[in-house]
Amino acid sequence: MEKILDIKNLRISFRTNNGRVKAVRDISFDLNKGETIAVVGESGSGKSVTARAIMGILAPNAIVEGGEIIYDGKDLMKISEEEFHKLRGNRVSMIFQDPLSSLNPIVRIGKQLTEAMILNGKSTQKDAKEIFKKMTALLSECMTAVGVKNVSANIETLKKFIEVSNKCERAYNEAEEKIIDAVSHIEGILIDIAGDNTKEVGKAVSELLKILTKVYNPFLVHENDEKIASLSVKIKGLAGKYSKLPKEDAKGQGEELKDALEELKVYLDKANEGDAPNFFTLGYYLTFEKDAKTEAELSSDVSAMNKMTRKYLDDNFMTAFLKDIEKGLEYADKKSNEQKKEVLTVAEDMLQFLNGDTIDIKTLLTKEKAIIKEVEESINRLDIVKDSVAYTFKSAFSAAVETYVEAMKLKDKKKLNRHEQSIFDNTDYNLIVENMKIPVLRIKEDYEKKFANADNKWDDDAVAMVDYLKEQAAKMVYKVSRAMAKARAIKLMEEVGIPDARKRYKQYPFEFSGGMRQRIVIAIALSANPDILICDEPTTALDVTIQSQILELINRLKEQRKLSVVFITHDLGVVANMADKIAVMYAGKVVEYGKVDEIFYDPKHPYTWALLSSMPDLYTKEKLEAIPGTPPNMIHPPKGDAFAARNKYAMKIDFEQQPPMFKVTDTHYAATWLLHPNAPKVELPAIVTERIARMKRMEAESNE
Amino acid sequence: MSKFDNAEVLLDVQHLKQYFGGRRGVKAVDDVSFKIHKGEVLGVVGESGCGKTTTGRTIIKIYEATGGKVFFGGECISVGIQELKEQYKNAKKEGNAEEAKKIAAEIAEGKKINKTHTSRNINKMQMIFQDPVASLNPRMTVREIIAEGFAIRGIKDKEYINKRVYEVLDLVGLVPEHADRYPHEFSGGQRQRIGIARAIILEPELIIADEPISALDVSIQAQVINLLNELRNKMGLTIMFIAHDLSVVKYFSDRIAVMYFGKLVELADADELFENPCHPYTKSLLSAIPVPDPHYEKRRKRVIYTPEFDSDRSEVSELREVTPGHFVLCTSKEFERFQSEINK
Repeated sequence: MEKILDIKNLRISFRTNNGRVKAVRDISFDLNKGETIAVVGESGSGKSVTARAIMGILAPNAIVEGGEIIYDGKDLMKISEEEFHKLRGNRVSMIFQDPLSSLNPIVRIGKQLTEAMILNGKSTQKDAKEIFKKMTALLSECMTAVGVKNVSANIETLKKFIEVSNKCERAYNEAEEKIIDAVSHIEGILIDIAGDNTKEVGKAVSELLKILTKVYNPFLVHENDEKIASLSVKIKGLAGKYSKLPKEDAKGQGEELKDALEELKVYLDKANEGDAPNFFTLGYYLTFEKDAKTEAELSSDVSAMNKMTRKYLDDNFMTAFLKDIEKGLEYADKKSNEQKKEVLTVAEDMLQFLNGDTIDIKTLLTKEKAIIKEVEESINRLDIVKDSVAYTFKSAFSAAVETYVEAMKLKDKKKLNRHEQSIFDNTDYNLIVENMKIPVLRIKEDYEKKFANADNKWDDDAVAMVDYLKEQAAKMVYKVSRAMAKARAIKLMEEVGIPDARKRYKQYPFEFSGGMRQRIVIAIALSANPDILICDEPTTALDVTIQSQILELINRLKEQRKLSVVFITHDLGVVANMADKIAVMYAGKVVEYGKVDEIFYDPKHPYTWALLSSMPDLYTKEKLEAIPGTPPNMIHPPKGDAFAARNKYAMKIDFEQQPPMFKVTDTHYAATWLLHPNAPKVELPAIVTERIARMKRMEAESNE
Repeated sequence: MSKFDNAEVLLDVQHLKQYFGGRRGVKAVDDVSFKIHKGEVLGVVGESGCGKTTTGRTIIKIYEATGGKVFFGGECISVGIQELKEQYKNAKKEGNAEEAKKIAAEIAEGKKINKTHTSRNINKMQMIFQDPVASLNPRMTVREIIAEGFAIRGIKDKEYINKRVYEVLDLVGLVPEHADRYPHEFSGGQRQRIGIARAIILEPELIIADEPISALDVSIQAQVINLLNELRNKMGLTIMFIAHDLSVVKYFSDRIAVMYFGKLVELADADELFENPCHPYTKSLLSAIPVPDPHYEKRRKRVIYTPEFDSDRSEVSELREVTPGHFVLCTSKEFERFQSEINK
């Protein structure tokens, strides 16, 4: 599984008048592609703060005390606001709790949906251009180094024919979107005819005819082109007559027009049936074959064309080019491996230095510079999947060193003012040195692992490289026009289950019900095709039926789009159907972490037990086991286990010392002293054991 | 059959209607009738906007009813004047003078009843609100908030008031020291306890609890439910419990009323309703309850309710008794089907 988001030792606090509120205290979890992690806990447990940190929208009084959120080779805690602009909404999207307050009440839904698409289109274009240029430059450098000939000419060829294929594909997509637009127009007209709105019909038909002139594409409606043309002439005549009728006389007069429209709709629906052409290969064929057939000629048999162009491309260019790329990639890897070996020796040296009794600041700084330089050089820039450890080494290590230097300055100072004194008293010098070791150890382990699992095959990588370049090139010519954005917005609205999307497109948020509003918010979040979707209590403001509809929707979209979801909630019932993994949070810490089955069928932490037993289900008769008291004040978090004061299983050690994460299975961890080998055996609360037994019984029954 | 059937009827709601925005406005509550027996908890469920809160607020006379009558402890406390006025107009139009006269008398009597029973002097009925932050005046101390009912009643004996305030504070699990603090100094669960203390200080017989736990944290929810349960046993309270969390309603209520678009669609004992749901809307509601069991959730199939297909529209639906104590809004055709379904 590909790890997409990695949160490590995150610590966040808030500056308030009464002191620092420690909202998140050292949490770590990760998220794989296409997976859902649910973060469960009561209010004030720090779950929303974590989500906001991922989005980079923490309140201004927040202080990030440490830790990393690694996404796409970047540490989100250390990048600038400018860089965040490119991620936020685009790659990472968020759905908020209250749908009413996250929509602009005075802007129509349609505008709110398309706004981001149009704005984003431009910036994607610019970024893609840059990446393409950089990648090809690096690639050709490596390839020339191993003695491949004609490198620049080949890359030029690649650029040229990708441009052509993109042009074809864009024309195809635009026509396809026009068809969708036309079909939804026809549906609108049919409703108008049923209501005898003659004037409306006249207007709508003239709009439709305008759209119909743009639906032609050799690969789309080629068989029905003539029929569509003749039908549109017919419709024009009929609608001209019909629209002049006064409303009272219109009853029954629209039948002929209706039939014509329905016939047209059938043809349009058929238009994009059949194979989609492979534009990549087609582009090469059209650019370089001297006596190439035209698109119209080719379109009679698309699958044959795909085969033919594919063979043409492979024979003339691609097979050889892929071999060249393989060589280039191998060279780059070898080069970076040599650097990596050097990093290992430097890291070993660094660790020894840090383990020494005295750490001289000057030597530390020079050594820091050297190791950062080595690591930066060891990164293989041609890797498509970015190696997060090496990429974030610089920011992590230099931050740790800086803290150390600052702390040392304070230590050497003779006179401290009150503020400095309080910092001095609260500083743990051993910990600061340990913190410096962490990134070094991490990169060492990472590289050693890499050497152990190295495979020396490059064919897959070369194909991936070409695909990557193709994708970037497609983004380069990608342009979102207003009409395209509208068509896409309507498609999205239909995807999230809003009926009558065309009409709804023009409405204001107040005209939607709560569930529909939340759907709009989800549609906006999805409009930029994000990798990660963060849902911050998306159903808390909704009632049961709407809640289960929204949950089903999120689950469906997750499957379709391979989304990774961070789902924040306080309701364990909601989580059971959604999550793959669950992190239970209490007082800014993850107290239990595991797969969904492990948390529900084999919970280990007393807080999880309490959560499970404090909510009634349909079979509960006995008195509920309420959790006594309230969560602790996070300005002065308790010294030991934060839950100890409300925990009836608490032992003496719980009040004195924080429990570490005990491992239950490879995927299941819990922070409670009850898992310590010396702890007394404690039974789960009766209400939980009964429920688990009943759940197992019910499952067995349903399996029979 | 519930164990409260033989108890006296405390609240009797007859054909209650509440329309907002004039004749063509929203029918928030549309012809709702039910009874609550003494000592019973009636849960009212339904999706948001179905009129469950409005029903509660109209009963306690925060809104003036459009039509129908409310009896409390055998005494009529609320009459919907507007509907009577319309009937009067119609009768006059048709030239039915006798009928018109009768209605005019009813209107006069209704007006008198509405004047004598206002929301300020219905002390035996109290309400607990959903949002514990918005429902407490931030500029009053807890003592003032809780004792406000006495002030309205005209009781000025300070010693007596203090004694009672400390008593109820103790009852809801707070301490006397809390009396001089302000609401913002309390946590959400404690604030809801203050709201409950305010509701019980006048020793009401009926409490209308409007989503009292949905704004609270999970761990606090159980505390408040347990508290309500305790108070119910100690004080013999009757509670109308409005909520949308069906698991909690099932746990807490003796009978459950399901509302949909201003109408009462099903009313039955809690266990009976969950075992034999009749109305398709109830079925869809029950199928949507999330359960903390991953394997069960993967198998769960949600039933979708579309009124056009699932309900018989050939005639006007009425509330009919399918089995003793189990009422369903249905047509005669559906009535037979439901009966055969249950008897199977």
